[in-house]
Amino acid sequence: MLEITGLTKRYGNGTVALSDFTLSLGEGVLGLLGPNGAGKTTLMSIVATVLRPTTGTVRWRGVDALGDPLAIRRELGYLPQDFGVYDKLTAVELLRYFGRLKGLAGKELKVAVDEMIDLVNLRPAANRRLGGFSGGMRQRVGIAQALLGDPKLLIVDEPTVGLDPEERVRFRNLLSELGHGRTVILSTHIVSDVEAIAERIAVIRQGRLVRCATPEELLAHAVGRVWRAVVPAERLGEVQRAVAVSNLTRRADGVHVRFVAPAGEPAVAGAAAVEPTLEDAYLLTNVEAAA
Amino acid sequence: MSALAVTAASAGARGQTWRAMIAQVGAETRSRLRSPSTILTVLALFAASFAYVPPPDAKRASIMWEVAGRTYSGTYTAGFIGAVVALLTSMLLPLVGFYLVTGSVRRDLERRVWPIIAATRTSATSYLLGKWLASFAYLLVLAALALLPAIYLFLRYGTGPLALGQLLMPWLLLAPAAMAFTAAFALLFDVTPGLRGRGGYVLWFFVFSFLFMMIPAGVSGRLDQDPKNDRSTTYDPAGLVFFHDLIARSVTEPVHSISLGLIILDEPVPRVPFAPLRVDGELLLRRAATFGWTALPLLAAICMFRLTAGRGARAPRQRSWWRRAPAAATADWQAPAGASAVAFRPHHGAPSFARSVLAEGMLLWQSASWIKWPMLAASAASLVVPGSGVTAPIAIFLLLLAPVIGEAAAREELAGTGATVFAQPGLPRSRVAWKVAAVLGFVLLAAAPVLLRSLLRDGGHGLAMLLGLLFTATAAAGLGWLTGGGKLFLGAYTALWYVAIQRDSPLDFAGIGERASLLTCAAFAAVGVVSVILAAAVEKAREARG
Repeated sequence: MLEITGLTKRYGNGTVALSDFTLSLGEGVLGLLGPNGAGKTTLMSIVATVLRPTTGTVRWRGVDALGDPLAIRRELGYLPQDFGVYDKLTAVELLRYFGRLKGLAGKELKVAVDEMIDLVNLRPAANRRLGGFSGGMRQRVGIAQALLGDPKLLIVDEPTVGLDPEERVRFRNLLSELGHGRTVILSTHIVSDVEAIAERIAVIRQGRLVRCATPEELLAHAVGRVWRAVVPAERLGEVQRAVAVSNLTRRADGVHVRFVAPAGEPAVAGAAAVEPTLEDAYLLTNVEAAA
Repeated sequence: MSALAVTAASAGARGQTWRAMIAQVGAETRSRLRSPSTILTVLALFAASFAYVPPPDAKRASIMWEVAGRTYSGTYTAGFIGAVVALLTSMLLPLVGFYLVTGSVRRDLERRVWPIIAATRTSATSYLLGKWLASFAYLLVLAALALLPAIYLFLRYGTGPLALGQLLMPWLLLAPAAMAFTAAFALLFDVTPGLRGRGGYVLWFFVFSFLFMMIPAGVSGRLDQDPKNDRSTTYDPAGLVFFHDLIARSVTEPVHSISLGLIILDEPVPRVPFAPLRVDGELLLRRAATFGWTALPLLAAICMFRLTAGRGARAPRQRSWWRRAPAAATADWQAPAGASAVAFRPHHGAPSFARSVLAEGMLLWQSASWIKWPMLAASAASLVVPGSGVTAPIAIFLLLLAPVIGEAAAREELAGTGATVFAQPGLPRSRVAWKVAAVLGFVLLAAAPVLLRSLLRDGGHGLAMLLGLLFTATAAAGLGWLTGGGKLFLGAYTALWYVAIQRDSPLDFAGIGERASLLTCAAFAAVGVVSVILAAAVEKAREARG
């Protein structure tokens, strides 16, 4: 459904945010993982047609989205990482505004907005001005505007930022369900969010696609490359220089260090292989890419 | 803790406050100096200096005084050129500079920077003092640049020795107080609800006239043109009284009137020696006292900020009690049952240009402040006010229209909604076209009664008003898009409006007065259209750049 081919984005100051990025997506949830500045937001802005690439193409259902942005916009729901709201409007007024821009009108618009207000649990604050909203409430308004109009392509950049744990789980489940019959691109730093709902994970680093695989494939690749060792506190620095540490826990018997070693058996005394988590697998992919 | 330790700690805190303020001044001045508005302002200041000091034998002059029925101006000595450039700086920069420096507190509040600053050791007072100092320093730097044309103009047209003291001293006496005053009022407007934003930008034009001209002239007895009533004053932010006194010392007979505007003449004005500036203790004291008046708006700003800055932390107020949502509707959201896809109610959106224009037009109305109500009342009143009295509601409508539409074209940039809005399917490829259509549609709808009344006056007035509304809408959209804000449009439009409503004004852009010149109105409409074409070109260039 969505074909991204050879996408490169070079900004005016010479920064290359994306470099020959190619990816093909069908229905389901794609988790986009990568360190800060990896190019995730640039990629999503280009797919959402708010930014033009230097080279490359984006095709949605076979139509060139860069030549005909409306083709993608008609079916798009987009939640950017940093989005503003009009403080003087109420949540309902803002959603109605976006609804009109999506072509809804009359009773249909009212029904769709009401549906979204209930969906994101904002009914008690629906007629309050957005200027008084907390960060989490604003985020829910952002989610509502993205879902308005039943989008077939949903692009969400860090959607769970600012949400309380309960709302985060709710939204995660909602995204998971939305993946049926739709294409969802989810960018986040929270690996557990991706693990819970993504059917495929794309790891992006320095503007390049490092790996695109299912969570199971990533985990399978990490088997035998994740280790745990107990080291004296005074040796911790030395260990940190030698291996990529994914977790540290200080205990009475020393520091419990969990780390990845791409080449297999590491040179840390007493290290034992452990079952990898997706976080380990992500770290391993990054370490391998950096190497 | 010992007494010594307490002293050291508080001294450290004071040092920290000063360091924080200096850091704030440095950061804000640097970022403002890098703004394109600064370059535009400096260019405008240079152009104004050259226009204000024409060649001495030119058939135009800027500073003239009438004595015994004859009009004179000064010979271009270092003292005269220095005084003229200083006066120009202290009159022009406060008007324009206000728009350059106001809005930074509003931005901090809207973008939630203030809570971060409030969580540091910086107090609200030092935060505001830092803001004021930053604005003052920036304006003073701009004002200092006006000295460059002063030196050039003296070298080009000057007579007598290049007395640097005479050339620079008027600036040193006038500019600091004028800039300090402007910075303080910009801050006061910035922290006062109702004044921060578009309404305040329009109001400043009138407040400026009162603060910098009417009040000093009134309290010093210079308004009645009777020298017997003249008295010294410690309130003279633009230096009008200071300049008047310099002229009075240059002539032997009483000065009947002084003209400060640039006037076209039939023949060159006779030029007479201008009294050299004598700086004495009393003059220095008066200028220092004028500077001291800055404390009033500054203090008011600090008090107002304490009252309003914490509002964001309070529970958000209900928009209207009669629209309160029912308490029963608070049931927790549940994902639709079943493992299948989420089923939204089916709807058939038909995004189109017309619907997106309608959405934007409605947003214009919703996001306008209380000003929209008197604007609408003025529009309606234009239908019922009889005779030539109709010019009053028409003029009021045109003035109040500006803040309602002034920021429409830059709304997404100001609120940070660009990514979400511009990804919507109803928008055409050209966002400029979308904005122009929405603003024009809104203006024509709001101005329908005004337009109808103008048509009833006579066909010429109707057409003139249509052209005027076209100018207003296109200039708001074009300039708003080009500048990424509404300040330039609001400042320039308000100044133009003020000139246009004068009797038989040659700049009546909408046929407000009795004698409407269609040619003038058409010229203004063309200017508006050109600003839109420029905006579209910039949009295309940005798009090409990606």
